[in-house]
Amino acid sequence: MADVFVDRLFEAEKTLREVATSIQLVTSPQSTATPLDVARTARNAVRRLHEVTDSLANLKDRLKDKSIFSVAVPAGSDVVEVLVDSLTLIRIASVGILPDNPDEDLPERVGIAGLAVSDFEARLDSLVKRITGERCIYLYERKPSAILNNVAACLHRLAEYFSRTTVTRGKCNVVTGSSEVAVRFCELWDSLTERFNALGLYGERDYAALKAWIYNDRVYLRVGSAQGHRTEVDFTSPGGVRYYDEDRDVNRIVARLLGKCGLSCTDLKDGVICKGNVASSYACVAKALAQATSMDLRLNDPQEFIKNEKVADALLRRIARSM
Amino acid sequence: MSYLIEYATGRRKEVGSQGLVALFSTKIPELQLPNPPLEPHGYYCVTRRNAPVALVSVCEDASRMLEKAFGRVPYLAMYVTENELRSLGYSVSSEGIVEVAVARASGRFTVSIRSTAAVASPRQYEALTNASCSRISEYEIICSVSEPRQAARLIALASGFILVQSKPRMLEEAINEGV
Repeated sequence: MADVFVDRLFEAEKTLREVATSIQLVTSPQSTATPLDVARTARNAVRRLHEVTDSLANLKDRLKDKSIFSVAVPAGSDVVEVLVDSLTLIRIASVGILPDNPDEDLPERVGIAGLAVSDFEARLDSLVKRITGERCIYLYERKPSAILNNVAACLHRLAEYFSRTTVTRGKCNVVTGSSEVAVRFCELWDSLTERFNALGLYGERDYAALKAWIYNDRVYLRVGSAQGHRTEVDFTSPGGVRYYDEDRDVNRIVARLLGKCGLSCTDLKDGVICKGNVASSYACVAKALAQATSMDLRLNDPQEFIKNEKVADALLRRIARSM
Repeated sequence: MSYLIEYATGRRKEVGSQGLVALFSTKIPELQLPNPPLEPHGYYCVTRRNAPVALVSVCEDASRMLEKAFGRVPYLAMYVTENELRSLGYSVSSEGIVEVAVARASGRFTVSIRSTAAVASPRQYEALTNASCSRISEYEIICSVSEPRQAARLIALASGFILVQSKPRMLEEAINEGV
């Protein structure tokens, strides 16, 4: 999924650069374009920019809506902010592209909160630096083509960062510099999900959807195929787990399993929230979260999932203990 | 027994545990006895007055074990006649049925476990009881034990496999603790 995210950013960058070049070409002093060519280029540029804004807005919404992208792309709110500012700047540039002079300097200040274009550019630059450690804008300009090139550079920096700094270990995507315990946790979760799948405890679609992303002290997991079925594990202090699910029966059991790991858990309408030191009980938490996958299917029809001898063994021992 | 299964599963939504007990006394012609026809022993067990003490003890024990493990659920009942104990359990969805028959001969109990759903293997039953078990067919296992308590344990284990549908979190606990 990270690939999808990165691909979208690279695609947007490419289109922005092509649009910027097309309007620079028809407006350069050496251009032999007729007024009709210029107007056509401007219209085409605006149309293509609409496509880019649609794509980036969709990406932003999916990140905000706890969709699969939010698992693939941590640093969540910062990335969303980058997209918001990019969209604003593209829209400003788009409005500034006039049929007769598509690359005219925009007014010093634009209508959005009285901010200058350079303020938006500075904020975008600073956000990208915060995520990637590198700047992306060095010249603040007011020409639409320059603004589009600046946004393209920032999207490129972000895409490059996410593609360059990620190592894949099983289902875990590890961003360089992430904490050791978070990586160990993810690797254990990965092997447990493999084991549970081999024991026939998962539905096919749920298994196919499993993915994790480790970013610094946090692990973002996609634990099933349902929309929004994600989990965040926070290894900072005091730390905790946030599990999202709308199945109340599953939430009750997940809360109990995580509670057994020494966390203090509350069963909510939309999932479970637990507080406590995850680092000291990461193996227990990994198992509970591996178990969350397809739990709804197992609760609905446990008979279907006890065909494996090891599972049947465990169930019989559990029944025997309770008698 | 097949009539009983058909009747019980077909009426599942209407009969609770008490209904099942009533079912044993009214719908099985050979069990209809006068004054009173059957006596309750625990939540899941009913017996004929002249039922052998050893089998009644197995029935009472199994009833206690099942009640402890699954609470009072309307998916199982046992009855004891002059020469055997029979247990019928079915899953919430009615798709799974488990029948256990216990007979006593030469101081030993022969326990026959038949199920339409997943059946544990002879080895698994042997691991959790001191029974000696063997598979008769895909759906039937026969075990032999000397103590009534072990026979009761076999009934509870075999029935638990089907009753887990009424308490599915037990499977989750089992996975968490033992897989």
